[in-house]
Amino acid sequence: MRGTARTVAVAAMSAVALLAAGCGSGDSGGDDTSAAGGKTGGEITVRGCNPENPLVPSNTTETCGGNVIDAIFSKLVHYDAETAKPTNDLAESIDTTDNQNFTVKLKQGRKFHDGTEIKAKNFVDAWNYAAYGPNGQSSGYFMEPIEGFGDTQCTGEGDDPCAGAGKAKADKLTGLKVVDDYTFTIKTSEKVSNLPVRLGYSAFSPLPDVFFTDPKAFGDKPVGSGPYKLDAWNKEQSIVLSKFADYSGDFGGKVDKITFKIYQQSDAAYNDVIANNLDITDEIPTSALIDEKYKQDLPDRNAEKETGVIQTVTFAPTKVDPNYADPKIRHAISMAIDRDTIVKQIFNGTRQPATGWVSPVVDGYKADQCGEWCKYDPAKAKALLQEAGGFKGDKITLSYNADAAHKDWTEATCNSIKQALGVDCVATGVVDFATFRTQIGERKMKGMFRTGWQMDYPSIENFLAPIFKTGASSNDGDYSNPEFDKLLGEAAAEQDAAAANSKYQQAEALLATDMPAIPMWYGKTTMGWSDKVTGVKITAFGTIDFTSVAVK
Amino acid sequence: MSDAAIAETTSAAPTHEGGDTGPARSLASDAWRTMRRSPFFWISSALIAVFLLMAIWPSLFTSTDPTQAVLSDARVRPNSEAWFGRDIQGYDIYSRCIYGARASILVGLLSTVLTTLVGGTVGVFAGYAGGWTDTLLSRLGDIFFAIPLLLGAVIVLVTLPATDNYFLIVLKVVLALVVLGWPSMARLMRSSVIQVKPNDYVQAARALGASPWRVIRSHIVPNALAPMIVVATINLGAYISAEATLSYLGIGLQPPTVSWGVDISAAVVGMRTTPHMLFFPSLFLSLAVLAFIMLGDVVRDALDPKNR
Amino acid sequence: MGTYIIRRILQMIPVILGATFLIFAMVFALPGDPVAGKCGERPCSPAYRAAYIQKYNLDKPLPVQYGKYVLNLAKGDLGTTSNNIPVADQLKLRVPVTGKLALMAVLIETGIGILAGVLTGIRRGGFLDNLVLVSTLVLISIPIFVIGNLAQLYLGTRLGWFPVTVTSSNPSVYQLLLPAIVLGSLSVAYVSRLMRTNLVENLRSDYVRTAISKGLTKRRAYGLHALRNSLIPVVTFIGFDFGALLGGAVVTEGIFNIPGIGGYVFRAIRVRDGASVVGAVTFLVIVYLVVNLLVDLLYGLLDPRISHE
Repeated sequence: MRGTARTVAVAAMSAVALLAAGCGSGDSGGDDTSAAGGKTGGEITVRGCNPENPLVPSNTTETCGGNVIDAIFSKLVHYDAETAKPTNDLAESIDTTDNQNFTVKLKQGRKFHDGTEIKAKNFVDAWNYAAYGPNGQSSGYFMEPIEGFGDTQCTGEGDDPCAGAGKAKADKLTGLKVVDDYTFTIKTSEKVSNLPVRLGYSAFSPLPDVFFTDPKAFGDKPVGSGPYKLDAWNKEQSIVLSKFADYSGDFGGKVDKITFKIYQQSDAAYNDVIANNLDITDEIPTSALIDEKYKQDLPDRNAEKETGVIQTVTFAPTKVDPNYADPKIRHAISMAIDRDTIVKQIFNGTRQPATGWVSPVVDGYKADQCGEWCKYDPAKAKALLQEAGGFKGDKITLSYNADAAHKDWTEATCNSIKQALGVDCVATGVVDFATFRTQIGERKMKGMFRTGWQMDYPSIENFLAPIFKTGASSNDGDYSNPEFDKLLGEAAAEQDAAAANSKYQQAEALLATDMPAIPMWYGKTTMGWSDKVTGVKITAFGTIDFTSVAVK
Repeated sequence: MSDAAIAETTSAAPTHEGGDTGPARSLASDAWRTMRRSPFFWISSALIAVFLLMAIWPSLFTSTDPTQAVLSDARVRPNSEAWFGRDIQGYDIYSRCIYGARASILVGLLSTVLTTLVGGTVGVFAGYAGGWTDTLLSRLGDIFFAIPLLLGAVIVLVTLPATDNYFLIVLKVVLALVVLGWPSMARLMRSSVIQVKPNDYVQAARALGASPWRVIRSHIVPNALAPMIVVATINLGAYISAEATLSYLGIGLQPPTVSWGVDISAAVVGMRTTPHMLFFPSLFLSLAVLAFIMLGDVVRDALDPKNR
Repeated sequence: MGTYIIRRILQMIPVILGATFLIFAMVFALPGDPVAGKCGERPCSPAYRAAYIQKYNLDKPLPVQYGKYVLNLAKGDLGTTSNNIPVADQLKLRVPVTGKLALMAVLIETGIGILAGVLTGIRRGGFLDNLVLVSTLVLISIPIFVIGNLAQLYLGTRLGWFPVTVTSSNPSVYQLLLPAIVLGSLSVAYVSRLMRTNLVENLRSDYVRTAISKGLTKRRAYGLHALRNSLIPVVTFIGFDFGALLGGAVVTEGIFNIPGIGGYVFRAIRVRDGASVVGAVTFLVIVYLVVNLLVDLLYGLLDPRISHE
C-alpha cells in the first residue's frame, strides 16, 4: 500500500469480520504512486507539542504525547493510514467464536528497542499495569471490558480512593491468561464484538520487562516496539526519534530520523515551514486558512483529509438547566444553525457539516442520521420553538473554553440562532480549559457548551458508547435512554460486523429524537510541508503517516 | 464637551501652589492662557471630545447595530454599504469602531486614574516619610510588582464571578490592571519625591514650621508631579493596548462587550489577507491614545511652575 | 553604605516569603481542576486523578502545602512541573534565554530612548521633537501582539532580514534581535519621553544656570549636571522594566517561539501547575529585588544629594 514493500497481513478469518473487511477491501496498491517518490534515509523535523504525561502508552490520552507514542510503539493491529481499517501488526491472529473469549497469537521475532523479543506476557503485564487503580494510569479504563476490571479499581471515596478499605482487591485482570510465549487469551465480562478493532489503540501496546523495574525512568526514555525509537527527549524543546534497525514489521518508515520540534503556537510552526526551517506542520493556523492563503504560501505542499473528529454542542443535563429539556427546543436550536455558511466563512471549508453523531471515516458510518434536524431551516425552527411554547429562559448561552480557538465559531453559531429564533444567544468564554471542564464535570455549567470527540479507535461504537451510554465517562449531558443502552449491548454481542453496525446505527437514530447534543461538523486536518519532503500523507487520526514521508 | 474636559483637568491644578503662596485663580488662568495658545491643545481636545461623545452617545454616529452579523458577507472590503467593511463575523466594522470607544476609553481612564491615585499616594508617603514607612511600603509594592501581570489578571478575571453586566466586565479588567499597576507608579513618585525633598524651598518650609501635610501638598507634590503626569498619560494608551493584549490571550473583555481591543485581537488572524479588519479599530485606538497623550503634554507644560 | 546593602538584603527575605506565599495562595485559590486537560478532551479516570492529587499534595490545606513547599525550597528542591520535569531544570534552561532577551531589549530601549530623549529635550519643539513624539505615540498605541506579528511577517517572512522564529534552545543574539526590538519598542517610548521631560526641567533649573553663568561650557553643564540628574527617573523605570520584561514577554515569546520564562509561567497558570508558577515567580522576585537594590545604589551615584544613611 505505501511505498515500502509490505505484505498484507493475513487476518484470522473467524468471527472478526471487521478485521477481515480491512484486509479484503482491496484498497491496497492504489493511489500511492505519487507517494513513492523520495529516497530512503535523511531526516525531517515536524511540529510537536508538549506531552502532558510521561511517555507511557497506558498513561497518554492527549495528542501531544500520543503522536510520539504512536510512532515508537507497535500494537497488535495497525490502522491503515488511508482508510483506518485495522490489519494485524504484532498479532498473527485474533480469534473468537463468541465475541467474549479471544485468543491472540503473536508473530515471532518482533523485538523491543532494547533487543528483547515481544512475548505474550509483555501484553498481559502491560494491560494489568494499566488497569490497576493505584498505578493511576489515565487510559486504564480502556481495559474495562476485560473480566476482573472491577476488582482492580479502588473503591474508596474522596481524594484518595485507594486508602484503607477502598484498596483495590486484585492487581491482575482475571480475564487475561498467558498460554505460551506467543499466545494469550482475553476474556471480556460482556460480549464485545469490536474488541480486535480497539486493540490498535496505544493503551494496548506491549511493554518490555525493563518498564516494570523502573516505570519512572521509562517514562522519560521509553523503550518501544515500533519502527522508530526514541533517542532523546529534550523537555519542552524537542523529541528525537530514529529508525529502529531491528524493526521487522510491515509499517516501517523511509526517513532515518524524525525530530518533533515543540511549538507553543501553530503560527510559529507555520511560519517556519514557509521559511523551510520546519518540514511538516500538522496544523495550519487560522491566519493562513483565511481565503485559503496557505495554498498560495505552500503550493502543492499542502493536504487536507477528513479525520475521526466531531464537534458537538451539548445541552446541560435537565436537572441543571430545565430550559432545554424539551426535544422540540433542542431541534429548533439545531435547525437554527447555518452550518454551511459557518463552515464556509469561519472555517474556510476546513470542516464538513455534520449530518449525524458518527464520523464518516469509521466503519459503520451512516449518512444523514440526524435528518432534517441538522439542516438549516429558520422558518421551521421558529415554528418548532413556538410549538414548544417558546424559550423559557432569558437567553440561550453557548459556553466555550477561551484558551483555544473556539470564540469565532461559537459566536457565529449564536448569531445564527439569534437571527433564526429571535431569542438572544450569547457565546460565553470560560477562561481556560481547566475551569471549563470543571464546571461541566461538576454539572454547574448551564445552557449549552461545546464538546469535541476524537476517536480512539476507528469504530462507530467509539462515537456512541463513551459519550451517550448511561453513566459513561464522557456523557457530559447525563443522557440516559434504556433503549439506546440496550441496542449498544445487542450490537456488542453481534457476531456479524454488518449486523453489529446496523444495531449501532439504530442506536444513533435515537439520538436524533432525543438530541442530547447537536452535531456541528466533522473535523478535517490540514497540513503543510517544506520543499524538502515528499510523500506527506494524513492518517484518519489526523496525524502524519510516517510510513510514506520521505526526503526529496 | 471640551470645556468640561478642561475644567476637569484644571480643577486638579490649583492643588499645586494653592494655599500659602498666593491666589489659585491666577495660576489656573495662567495655565489656561498658555494652553489656549497651543494648537496641540485644540487638536487633542477636539479629538477627545469626539471620542467621549462616541463613548456616551454612539447612536449619534451610526444607526447600525454592532452585533448585527451578516455572516455571508464576512470579511468583505470597505464598500458603500459597510464603509469600513465587515469583520470575521460579518459585523459592520464602522459601527464596531464607534461602539468600541466606550469600553476601551473606560478601561484606559479608570485604570490610569486608579493606579495614579493609589500609586501616587503610596509613593509620596514612602518618599517623604522615609525610614520604616518607606521600607514597608516599598517592600509591599515589591511583592505586588513581582507578580506577572498575566497571573494577576487571570486570577482576578477567573476568581471574580462571571457576569453579563457591562460595567462589571469592564471593572474586572480595570481591577486586574490596577492591582498590578500601582507599584510602578508608587516607585516613580517615590523617586521624584526623594529628588525634590532636599531642595531648599522644602527645607525652608519645614524650618518655618509648616506641617508635613502642608509641605507635601504645597511643595512636594506639585514639584514631583511632572514625571507622574507624563507616565500616566502614556499609561492611558498603554492600558487601552493592554486590554487588547488580554483579549488576545483570551482573558480580557468578553462579548457582548464591544471594544477596540477585542476587535483588534480578533482581526490579527486576518493581518495578511484582510488587513482592513485590523486597520480601522487600530486607527481609532491610536488616535485616542494620541489625543490623550498630547493633552497630557500640553497640560503639564502649562502647569509647570518653573515654566513661567 | 555597607550596612545599607546588608539591611536591604535582609529585607529581601520577608519580601520573597511574602511573594511566594501570595502566589501560592493565588494558585491555590484559582478555580478549575488541575487534572483537566491532562487527558485530552475527556475527563481523567478516577485512578489517574487520585494518583495525581496525591503526588502534588493537592488535597492538603493551604498552610500544609505551603509549609511543604518552603521546606523543600530550603533543601534546594523546587519540585516538579505537572508534566514531571524538575522545575529547577526548566529554570536553568529558560532563565538564560529570557535573561538574554530582556537584556537586549533593555539595551535597545535605553540606547534609543535616551538618545531620542536628549535630542528632543535639547531642541524642544523642533522637527525632530515632533517626529520622535509621533513615532513613539504610534508605537505606544499599537498593541504588542500586532507589532510582533507585523514585524515577523514583514521583516522575517517577507524580507528575510531576521529569522522568523527562534529555533534553538540557546539562541544567538541575531535570532533574538527582532523579538528584542519588538519587546523593547513600547519601553523606548517611555524612556525617551521620561528623559525628555526631565532634561527639559533640569535645563531650566538653578544649578545648571549657575554652572553656565560660572563659565562652564554649555556642553559640560548639560552633560555633567543636567543629563546626570535627568537619568534618575529613567534608571528607576529601566530597573523595574527589566523585571517586567523577564516575566512579561509572554506574547513576544509565543509569536517567536522563544523558550523563555514568560510562556512557561503562562502555560503553568493555565494548567494549574503550582510548582512551576511559584518556582518561576520566586526567581523573578529575586531578580527584581536585586535590580532594584542596584537602582537605589545608582541614585546615590547620580545625585550626590541623596544619601543612603
